Amino acid sequence: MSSEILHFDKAPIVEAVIGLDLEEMLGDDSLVALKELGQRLSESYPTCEDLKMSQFELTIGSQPRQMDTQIGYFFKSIDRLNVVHARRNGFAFSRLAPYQNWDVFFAEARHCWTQYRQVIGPIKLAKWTVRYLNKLSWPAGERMEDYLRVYPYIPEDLPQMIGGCYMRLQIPIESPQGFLTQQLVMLPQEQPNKSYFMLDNEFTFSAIGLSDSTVWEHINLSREIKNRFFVNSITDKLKGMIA
Amino acid sequence: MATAEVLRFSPFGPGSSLRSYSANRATSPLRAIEREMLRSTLNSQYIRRVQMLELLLEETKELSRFAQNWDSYGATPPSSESIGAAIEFLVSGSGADFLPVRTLPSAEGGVALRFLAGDKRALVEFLNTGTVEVMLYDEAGTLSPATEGLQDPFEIMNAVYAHLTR
Repeated sequence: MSSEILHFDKAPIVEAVIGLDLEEMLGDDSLVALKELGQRLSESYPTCEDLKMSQFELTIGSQPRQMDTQIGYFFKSIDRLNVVHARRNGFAFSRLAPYQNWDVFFAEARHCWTQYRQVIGPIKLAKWTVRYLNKLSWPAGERMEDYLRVYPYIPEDLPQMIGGCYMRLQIPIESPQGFLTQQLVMLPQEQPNKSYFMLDNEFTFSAIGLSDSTVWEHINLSREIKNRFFVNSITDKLKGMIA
Repeated sequence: MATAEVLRFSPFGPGSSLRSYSANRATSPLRAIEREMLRSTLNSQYIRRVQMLELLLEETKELSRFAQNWDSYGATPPSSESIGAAIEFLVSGSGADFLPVRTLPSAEGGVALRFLAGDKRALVEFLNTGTVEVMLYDEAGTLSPATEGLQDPFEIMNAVYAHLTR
């Protein structure tokens, strides 16, 4: 299917993310550079929040110890719908709902990456990801297979009701070589007569040895891949509901 | 696909330095999955928000355990109606970047949701009387006057969101 013709008026996208991971965690001093990135972006991204990683150290015979390490910052747009994740080990750009379209999303992500790249200095890229999280809903009590083409199968001689769901698949992609991590998760019920699920498709590809411009070319081409996996993961009935 | 095949699956093929990179960081497939799930959560604003929402919903439900005179000043515990109204508000507002930092019992009798963004603050109280009280203010305590008479959840959400993102 051509990516140009894929459009859903009621697209269920709750978040889209483009991410680039570095081969290694940069030193503490890179936080200064990331702070400078915040200043460069501050007109459009005025809110800055610390991004910390917590680790627990468990030693037999002593109390668990929690260590918080700052690994970067979140920079949030005025409406808080665009979020830059500037980390010592990578970069990500999130767009929360309402999602506009690929071109706008891609251009803003690339703009922010260019700024990140200018402040962070020489780096080696390890991988890049494109991720779409979709919130899907349908009438409570109806069968998942009426709406999804990828779902957990429960044999008919077992109870067909589920109180929770977390399914995670890793599917190889041949060209370009990479893989999809697909997660299907039941979400909190927003309305009593509906069921809510998150279909989370994350596409991961190697960036080793590639230049920035090549990586961004590949990211742009992944649009067709993410569209193909999404439309083939849902049924025509669900497509009709979001059309 | 057999389990053994899944465990052998290598995303970038033999000889890839990324494969050795991953292998060095993960000592077992289960630890690799655990690490990957953590990364997957950290990288998504939406998932972090859903997790926060689930925590807030649990905390709000727990407010029913408060007893009469819980603050030793004669406060009544939150009623099931005020807890229900707060939960409905939390769930319907979760689409925006709009979650409170705390859910608390109100000294007035009911549930209080406290919001915080930069130097902006907001308090939305779902009282046992069935009314809603909204207070928008800043770090210095300066009140925003535009909240009188707000009762409709959608209007309250918009007012709080506008205040926090101003």
